[in-house]
Amino acid sequence: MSAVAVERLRKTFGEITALDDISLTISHGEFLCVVGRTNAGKSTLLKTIAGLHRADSGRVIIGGRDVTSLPPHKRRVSMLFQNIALFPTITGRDNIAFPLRTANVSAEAIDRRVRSIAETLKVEHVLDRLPRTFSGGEQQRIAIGRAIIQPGDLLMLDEPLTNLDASIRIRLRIEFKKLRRELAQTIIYVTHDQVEAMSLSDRVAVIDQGRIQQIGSPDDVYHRPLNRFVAEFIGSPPMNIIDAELGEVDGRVSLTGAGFSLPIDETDGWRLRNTKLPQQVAFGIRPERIIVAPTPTNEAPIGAEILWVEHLGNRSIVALRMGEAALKAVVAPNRPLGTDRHVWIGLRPDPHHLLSRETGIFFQLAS
Amino acid sequence: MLEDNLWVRFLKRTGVGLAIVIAFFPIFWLVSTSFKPIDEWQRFPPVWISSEPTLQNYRIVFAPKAAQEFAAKQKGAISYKVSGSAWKAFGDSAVIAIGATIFSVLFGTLAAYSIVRFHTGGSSYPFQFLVVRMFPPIAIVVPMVVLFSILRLSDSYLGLILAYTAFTLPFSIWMIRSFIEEVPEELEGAALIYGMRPLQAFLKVTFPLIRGGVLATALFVFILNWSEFLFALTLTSGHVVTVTLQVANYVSASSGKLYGVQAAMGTISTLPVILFGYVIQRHLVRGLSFGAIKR
Amino acid sequence: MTAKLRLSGISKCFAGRDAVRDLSLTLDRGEFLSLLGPSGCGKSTTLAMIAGFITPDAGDILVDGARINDLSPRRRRVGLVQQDYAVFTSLTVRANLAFGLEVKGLGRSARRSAVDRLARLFDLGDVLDRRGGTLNMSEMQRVALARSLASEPELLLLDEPMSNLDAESRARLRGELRQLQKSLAQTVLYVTHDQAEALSMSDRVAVMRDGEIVQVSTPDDIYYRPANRFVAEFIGDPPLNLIPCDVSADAARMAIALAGGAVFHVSAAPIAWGRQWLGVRPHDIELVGEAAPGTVPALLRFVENFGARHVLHAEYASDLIRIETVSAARSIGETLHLRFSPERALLIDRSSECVVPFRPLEAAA
Repeated sequence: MSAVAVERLRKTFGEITALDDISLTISHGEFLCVVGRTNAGKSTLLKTIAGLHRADSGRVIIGGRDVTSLPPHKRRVSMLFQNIALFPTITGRDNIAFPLRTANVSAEAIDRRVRSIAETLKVEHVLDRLPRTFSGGEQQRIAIGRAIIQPGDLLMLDEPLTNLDASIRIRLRIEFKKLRRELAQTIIYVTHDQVEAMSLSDRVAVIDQGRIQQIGSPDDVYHRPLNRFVAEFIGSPPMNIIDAELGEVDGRVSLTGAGFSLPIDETDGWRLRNTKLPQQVAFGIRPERIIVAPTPTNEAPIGAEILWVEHLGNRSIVALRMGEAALKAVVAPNRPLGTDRHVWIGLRPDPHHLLSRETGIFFQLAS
Repeated sequence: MLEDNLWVRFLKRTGVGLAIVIAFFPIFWLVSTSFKPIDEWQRFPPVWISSEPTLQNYRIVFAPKAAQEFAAKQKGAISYKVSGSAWKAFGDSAVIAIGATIFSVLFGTLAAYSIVRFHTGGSSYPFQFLVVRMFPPIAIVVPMVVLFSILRLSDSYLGLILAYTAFTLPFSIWMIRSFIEEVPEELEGAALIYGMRPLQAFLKVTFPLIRGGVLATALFVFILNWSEFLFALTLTSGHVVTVTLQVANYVSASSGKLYGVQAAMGTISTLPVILFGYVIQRHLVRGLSFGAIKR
Repeated sequence: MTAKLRLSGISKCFAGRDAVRDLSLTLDRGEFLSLLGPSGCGKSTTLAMIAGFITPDAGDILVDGARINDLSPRRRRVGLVQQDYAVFTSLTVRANLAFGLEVKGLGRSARRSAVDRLARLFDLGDVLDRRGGTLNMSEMQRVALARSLASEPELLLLDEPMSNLDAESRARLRGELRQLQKSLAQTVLYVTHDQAEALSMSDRVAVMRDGEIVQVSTPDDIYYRPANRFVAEFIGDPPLNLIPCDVSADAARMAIALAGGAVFHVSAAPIAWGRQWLGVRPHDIELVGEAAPGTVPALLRFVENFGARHVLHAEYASDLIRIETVSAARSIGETLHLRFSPERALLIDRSSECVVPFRPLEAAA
């Protein structure tokens, strides 16, 4: 029995369909990240599972109970909101204790729990102050304390790091990983930042326009995206998608396009022949798999032009133009690329990364 | 800011000064007149500050019989007849104004909450309320009189309270709505998720944050109710007397033109409002909240 | 040649707190300079003073050599894009852009063609006749940018213009904004808390902390030669590792010893002996198959899987350090063998928190 199951959930707001027939299951203790653009439906999904929105149709099952018609306080879930939502008129201590006080737990039990959590989260020094005196990180940690003090069937986090400074975000992300080990809870974490999703989750659910595009482990969504949206959304810079024609060149299956002709390995070549594929396709190639060299070599035979380079310290992103296609490649920092704008690149296409131009769906190869 | 030259500054200061004088002059005149003896009420050129200030006007307001005796002993006793002491008027106005304010703010808060959180009535609903308020009251006075007589609400406390509530409700809703909108929904969401029922969440989480705004609204509504004249005049016939009616009584066919007394009554009737404002001014500060919400 | 912008000894105090302290900075024509720092460091206040919304308590602001402290914002010929964009919601996009042109006093047809040109530049052709309130964040940002550039300002001030955008949009727009700036040769002062933005877009970066500028330099210098611990830890994702080390002297050279056995010999450097820090970037750590001379062991605790690369968090010297490396199958709890190279490491003084330069000699065992 799964910890959380969502069956065919639909939610509309007037004309807008926020959740379009969503189904997913989450196992006990799993950390699932729901990731997507703004207004993709991520927060709505969370709030519907929590009971703050009523679904138009479909079911929500938490801990084996059908909670679809239950109000929020009966669902045994905790939630961390995007704008933190600490109660401003009470102290940090009272905020953390809130769920237990509402449940009429004894005062000394509450006191014990609050002290233990405050210690873990390192917020003892702000317990007796009001939220408006806290820093961003402290507010976040008090809100986390409030969310975990009463272990429920499900913990949900709605973009908890979005409003924080970049440097604090990086640090708190690691805190979440550490905290996760101590909590045995099932967790749904919503974010628009795929870096967070990849870093924290057991599985990633990519959502767009109210629909789940793909659910899988970070490796799955990175190396085996199901469609173009997932391929371009996961990974920064996004996967490059290049139009090409699939055909035979010199007896080998090849992808040809403006300025390039890329033969495919024989072992994969016959699989491609056995799968019915159209001639007009597109193929995807991750930025780190593009080889960039200042002079033409066997591995980098294709001419291209550098549009700009972004130096990030631990790597550099090179924006290239190859014929009509605009590509981004990732190279090690301080790689000499020559002063000339003209470079040579090498592409080694993965046969699993061929997709249809019309549908944007990646082809599954025959075995 | 940076660049006001001398001329601009002079204009600004004169302008403000003028506005202050214009705004406060009636009040000054009112208070001054309330201390004038009868021969100074209508003198021309006008007497700015009385040379022989007296408390007679105030005596007439509160204890007409004693005032009559006093006047008899003074020079130039005037014969006048007033409809009784003003204590009843203060009492009646208090009941009606406070009652109507409580109703208006109570229903207004609940309605505003429903409109903001549940989008009751659609997006133009609040505006519809405001349009109602834009009706000149005099246009509906006659139908109101008829309606009240049918409902047997004429000349009753309840009747006036209901009328005032109805008339100030759009204003209450409009003002309180804006305060509720400032409270993020997530705050109530958090309360719900962590165990509260919706009403509890509203009372314990939302209301403390809008309390200042609700009190400010209550103050304004109280002022409207306290100073209302038209409905008081038309919907009552003697049993219920409000402060405004009492003030009007001092200049009438039966009493003559007792301007000084009227001024005294007017001066006193501003006191409850000032008192109310003073008492709640602490709560008008909306500083307590919104420190924990990051945008 | 006079600098386009010069700040000289600017200070501002709010409610008893120093928001900006004796700040001096120059910006050359056509330069893209980032003011980088955590929230509350005074960067937005500095921008507001340059724009004219706040008056400095002390100091001069000079544009092209002329002091502008006493000019109202209107007269300053600076463009400003604020965090919330402040697009006029009840006006159309066209009207918003035309607003920026008002100051130039153009005739109607000249205004129209200027608006069209801006719309093309910022890809706003489709939304020109939509009202500001109906746009999404990304469109609003473009309108705000276009509007600020409409008057061809001497200086463009950007206050965290990307913070309201999706991570995806941010990464995409960084390069485009920079290219646009270059093609227009527009002088830009860019405020941000995101070190990736500052590093990737700027000609120079000014790192701010508590109202003061801590270091101004090229992105390269800031990354590889930070002046102190704060800059070293603030710049870089994943963040710098601070490894405790022991400095001792040995005739003309110094030795830096790390827990677990690695020792580097370096040239003498002005630093006290004893316990100090060694700053090592996560991608400068080499993973070796097994224990060898010069390697140290670390216990793997977490893995962040970013697809093509992993960031490993391992326990070493009672703390967690981060190692950035290519993806490979690893199990939690396994022992990693790390090799640090002294060439790019930073020696940081514990008391002064300054980075002390040194020169590595050949490594010892």
